[in-house]
Amino acid sequence: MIRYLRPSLVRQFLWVVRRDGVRTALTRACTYVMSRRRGVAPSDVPRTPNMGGDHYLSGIWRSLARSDAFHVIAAPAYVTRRRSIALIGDLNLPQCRKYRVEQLEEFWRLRDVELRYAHHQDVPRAVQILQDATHLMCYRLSGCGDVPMLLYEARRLRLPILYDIDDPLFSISAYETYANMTVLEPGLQAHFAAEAPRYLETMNGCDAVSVSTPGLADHARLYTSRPVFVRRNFADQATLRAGQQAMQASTDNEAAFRVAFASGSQGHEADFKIIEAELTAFLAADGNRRLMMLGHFERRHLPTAIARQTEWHSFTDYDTYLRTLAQADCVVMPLVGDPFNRCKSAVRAIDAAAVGTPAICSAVGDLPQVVRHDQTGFVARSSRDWGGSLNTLARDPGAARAMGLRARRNLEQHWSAQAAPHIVDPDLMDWVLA
Amino acid sequence: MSGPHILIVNVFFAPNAYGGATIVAEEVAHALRRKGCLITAISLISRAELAPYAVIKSEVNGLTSYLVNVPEGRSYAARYNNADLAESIGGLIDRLVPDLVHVHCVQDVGAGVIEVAKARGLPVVLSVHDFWWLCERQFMITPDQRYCGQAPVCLSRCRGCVEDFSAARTRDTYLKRQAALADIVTYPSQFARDLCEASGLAPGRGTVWRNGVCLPDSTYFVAQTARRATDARLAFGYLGGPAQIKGWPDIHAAFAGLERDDFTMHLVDGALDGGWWTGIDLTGLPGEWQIHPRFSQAEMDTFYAQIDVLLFPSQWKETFGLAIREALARGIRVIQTDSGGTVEHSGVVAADLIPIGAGPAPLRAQIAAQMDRGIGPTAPVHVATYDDQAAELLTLIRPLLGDVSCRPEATPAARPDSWGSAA
Repeated sequence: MIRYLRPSLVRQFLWVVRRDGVRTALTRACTYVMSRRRGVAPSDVPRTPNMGGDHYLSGIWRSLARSDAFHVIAAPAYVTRRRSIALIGDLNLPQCRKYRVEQLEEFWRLRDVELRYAHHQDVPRAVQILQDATHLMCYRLSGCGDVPMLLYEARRLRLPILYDIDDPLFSISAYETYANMTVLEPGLQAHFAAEAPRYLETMNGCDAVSVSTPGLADHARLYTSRPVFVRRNFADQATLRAGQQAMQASTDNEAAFRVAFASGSQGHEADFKIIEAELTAFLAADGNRRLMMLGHFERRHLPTAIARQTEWHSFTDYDTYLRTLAQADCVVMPLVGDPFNRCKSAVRAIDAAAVGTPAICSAVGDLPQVVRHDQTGFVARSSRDWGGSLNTLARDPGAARAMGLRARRNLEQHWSAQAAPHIVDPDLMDWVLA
Repeated sequence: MSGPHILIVNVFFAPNAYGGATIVAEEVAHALRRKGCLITAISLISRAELAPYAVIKSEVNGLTSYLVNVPEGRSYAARYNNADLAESIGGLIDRLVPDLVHVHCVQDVGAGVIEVAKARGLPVVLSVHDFWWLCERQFMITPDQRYCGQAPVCLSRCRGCVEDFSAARTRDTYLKRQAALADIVTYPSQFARDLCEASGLAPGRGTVWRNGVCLPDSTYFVAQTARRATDARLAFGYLGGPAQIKGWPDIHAAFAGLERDDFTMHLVDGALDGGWWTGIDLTGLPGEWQIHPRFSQAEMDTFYAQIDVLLFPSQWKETFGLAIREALARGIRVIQTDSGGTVEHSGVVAADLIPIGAGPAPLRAQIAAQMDRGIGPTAPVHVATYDDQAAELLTLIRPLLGDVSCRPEATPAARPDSWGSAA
């Protein structure tokens, strides 16, 4: 306490006693000593009490509004002199995060546009990246939680808002005709249908929409009057690099012929069903043939006859997935031709091509755009095509490998991070850069 | 916009303005904007509901202002060297890409902002207001509210004033090192420059860059004349609040001993919460006393039209004294102490300056003399405007900007429907 008995402090104490009384002087002295002992220094910045509200930004919004400082009128790019995209999204699905979020960072960096992203539930970061952005992209968001607050903040900041999505989550009509939904619990099916309007509400709260395929664009136009752009998924540098490493690490096992079926999310059992008979026959014809199941699949839906020739690989991380895929001799990508699947992108074909593995795919969604029939794989247009293509590849492993390498070259040349019209709609480029 | 993009860092800024130096920073910012510069401001807020060091963008009168949220309970060292805050501002600099950083009052911001800007290759102008760079108490005022009077400031003589001398020495070393990184150091008065440089703050690198003021508008003198026509009593004004260091005890004592009551007294409440004069006993004082609410720059004329004499009995050596110049430019007489930078103007009469610490007697004598003189008109003193001050700054920084144009040009209107103006 001795250090608080400095003459100047004592004089100050006595002066306050004279002016305001003993009680006030003692209170102030106690406050001073306590703050000093806690190591807290006096600050010029006054603590603003929380003005209350339902969410993170309520208080500061109210303060700014009262101070006539709420609206940001100057175009953000005028202040920053460059484009900076804030991407806020549902980042829970690794595959979606990679193709619709992370790879965009590389795409826009190549065009001198900064892109930063945040999970919509990481509210402080999401708010932070909005503050000095010039554009907002909302990926796969529905109007729940803090999403309306984030959109409101973007409007306050006068940011143009793009809604991005890669599945018709807004579409009850697509869900109710989606073959893979039938394997899900009824409660889950009802949940998806109930959530669709929330997605649509958020989508229509934005200025424009970008989607992953022309099929999805056509379907989205049934639900929105906003401009709809196509931005396809592509092979970013990380994918090409990881794919190259996976190819180099793969072991050449001549004894077995492996067919891979990859599923990044639940509910692809119905898709599998359309190749089940042909695949069963193909495997039964040779004991050295194997089916590799990667990711999500309900084992009870796999025929017993196939099970003993099946290897199961759980989905871990992307690099491990590619290394596993590189062990396959071909990848099968069946899709039921329903409205939901007609919106699907070709990411599994991109993954296969990244590791130089030929693909056999349905003529559904965007798969035929990436898989060039008889060049980088096969497009199966009937159930018999599956068996024929599998046998063609199995008969000549050398030709199969050559086909896989063509797929890899095709990926590098046509499906990398390029601003070509087949990757990104020129109007979308203008939307950001103009 | 054809001029440079200048990033201003100041502890307060609109929409949270407080204090004379902040007014200067804001008004110069607007004047620079009128001259074609792009201006962005960074200042601090402290709100419990926001994440530490969160940034919120706002805009006031067309000027973009980023508010950085500082947590409560910061340490002594964090007031002058806050790595988290410096990093946050560094991130803003990276994205805002200014041509120059103008570091104003950075108490609580910390001096690290200079290092952060220099690390990015940006020129830095440091403008010193008050004595924060020399004194941890900012105004060279001892805990019992007395001006310490050191000239030059010698840290070893601060032992009896500071809480922790070792910490104060660390602070002093750090701040002087940071100040030395600035390309230009400006002071609002010769007094401030001489004292700071003699005390070891970036010696030989300082320049005097005097503040401007808002001049009265065309209706001001009409309003002043009209008021005098309706009330012949002399009107005094005081803006310093009930602070000992601003001379309030002397004002109170001087008026308490006055044997006249044919005057009015206008006390401005400058507190953010309007509480400066709450609980201050004004009963028993002669004359009519009124509390005038806190006013903006745009409302200044309304206040000054109400008074004839400004009281400025500051008990410390100020670095400028904005209110004095505002008053002189409006034909208001001033009674002031010999308080540093406040006397460096053409309206000063040396013999009338009251020595600091002289007590209420000479103040009372000058008050009485002014009352004898009455409300007769007084010619306005020429004072530089904020536009003049901004022009002077552009001249100062031109050598730092290289190819960046300083050519004045009307600021383009905001184009919210097109971001093309970024090109």
